[in-house]
Amino acid sequence: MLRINEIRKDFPILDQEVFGRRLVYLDNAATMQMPEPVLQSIVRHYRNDNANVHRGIHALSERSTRALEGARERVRTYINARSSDEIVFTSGTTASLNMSASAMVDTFRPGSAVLTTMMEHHANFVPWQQACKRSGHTFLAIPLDKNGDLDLRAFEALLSENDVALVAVTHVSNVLGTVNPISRITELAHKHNALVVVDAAQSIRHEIVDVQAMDCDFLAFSGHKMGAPTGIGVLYGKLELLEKLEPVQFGGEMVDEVRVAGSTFASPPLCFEPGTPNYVGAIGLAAAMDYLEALGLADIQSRERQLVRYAEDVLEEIPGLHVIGSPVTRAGCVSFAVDGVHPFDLATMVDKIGIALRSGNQCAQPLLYEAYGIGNITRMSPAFYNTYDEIDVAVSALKRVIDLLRSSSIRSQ
Amino acid sequence: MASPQQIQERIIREIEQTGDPFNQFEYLLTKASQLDEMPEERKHPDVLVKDCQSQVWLYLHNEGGRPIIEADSDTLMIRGTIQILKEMFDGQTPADIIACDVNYIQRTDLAYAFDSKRVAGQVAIVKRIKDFAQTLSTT
Repeated sequence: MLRINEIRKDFPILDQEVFGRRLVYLDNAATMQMPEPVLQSIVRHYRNDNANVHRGIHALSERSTRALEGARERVRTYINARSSDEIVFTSGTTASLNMSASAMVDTFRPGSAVLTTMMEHHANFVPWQQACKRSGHTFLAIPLDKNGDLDLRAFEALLSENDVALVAVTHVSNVLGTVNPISRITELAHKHNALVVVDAAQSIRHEIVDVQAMDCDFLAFSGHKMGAPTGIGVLYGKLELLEKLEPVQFGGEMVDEVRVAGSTFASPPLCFEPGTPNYVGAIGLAAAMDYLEALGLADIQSRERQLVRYAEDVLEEIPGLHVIGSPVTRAGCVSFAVDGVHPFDLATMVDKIGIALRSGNQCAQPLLYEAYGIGNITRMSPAFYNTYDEIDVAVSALKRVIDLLRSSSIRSQ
Repeated sequence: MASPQQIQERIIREIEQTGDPFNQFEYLLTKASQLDEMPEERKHPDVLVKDCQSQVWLYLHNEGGRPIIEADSDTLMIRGTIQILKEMFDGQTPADIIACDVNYIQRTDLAYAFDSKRVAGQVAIVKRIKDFAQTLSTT
């Protein structure tokens, strides 16, 4: 059981007014706020231990290196990887997925296909699309059913009808909140000799991400979605697969020997981390994982699902508001459209009464434009530190602004 | 007739007098309601203003050597800004339009709603109007 009043003391940023109103921050799918212990871990490192990692033979560099490698081990235990060599630090999910696509496309069987889904964030869609375009592989998207769940029958049919080399799928949709059955997807994909890459950007905070239980081959996520700083992320890969990939970015630290005649590279994960890594970001990431685990991952999952269910219920009471999708399991966010109201107008106006929501296409144009045939939406995404009262305040503000916008719209016609 | 700059100063005073930021946006909605709606058949893709996040359809007409703005948007906020530009520029001399520094957004709390992409959209609309005024001044 989470003690929310106590937890909120760790997030002083939430205790403020914007435009003279109490802030209600419900944009956690975009970024979660950082708790004090994470901020302190960053300050502590800069204050006491800061030096570049790996190359320096001096005390501070040794301490920095130990902290970085300690963070790598921390990530390993958090996602239950078998080895810390399977943890590649990147700048975030987007970088992880781009690196995967660039490195993997050359290993695909000639004439094979990449399957992604209609609910992907652009970060797990465009890199594969473009890699396929360059290499001549087929690029396909698994359709959704009417509720916003993946159509698993269509998925099986696509696996049977094509030589699929790889399936790129999100764990949780950043628009629908759909929680995909990753274990089932990997089981089906592996039967057809296809690898599975999972985008865990949305799920990493509030779902149980266990790469061995999922049996995924690669997995990507960002620190800032789970209370760590921006600019740090992870690409997990099964070690035997990472060892087969060629590096796609080059520079210092990732090499073994460099001669005019050619270069050899370090073993994973270092061969995928050229240049100075974001070691302070990694230290912050480890602190965020400590923080979440101390609260209890199962409790966070339960709390966030309850908040999302409550938000969905109260939002649907607003006349003319349509929640997008009704998946079997929804987590992380609720997205909606309102008849006759543009999401930009809505999110802009509620911001002026203290409510932080997000409007736009959420970097999911295939989902919104092609699968649902709508343009932009508004998204509410609570985190465990939010309260039911805050959701009520936000819904009340939405009702007020929707009425105002509708009356303005009528006057202008 | 007041100059575009004088009209802009009046608009800034009106916005500031509305009080808190929410009321300032209500002011923009009021402006939006004063803008004539463009018939759907005139909303051609080729008159969409590039660089705008919202859709903005813009026609510029020459009436006696002075521009008249005919425009619409899919968002009420942007409709409000279009109405303000109409009040500032419709029927003004090209020289006055070119000389006017449009900055009422930056000088009021409206700036909070206009991130860099939306400011770029506003700049694109104003540039189209000023380019048109420039054309009129040289013909």
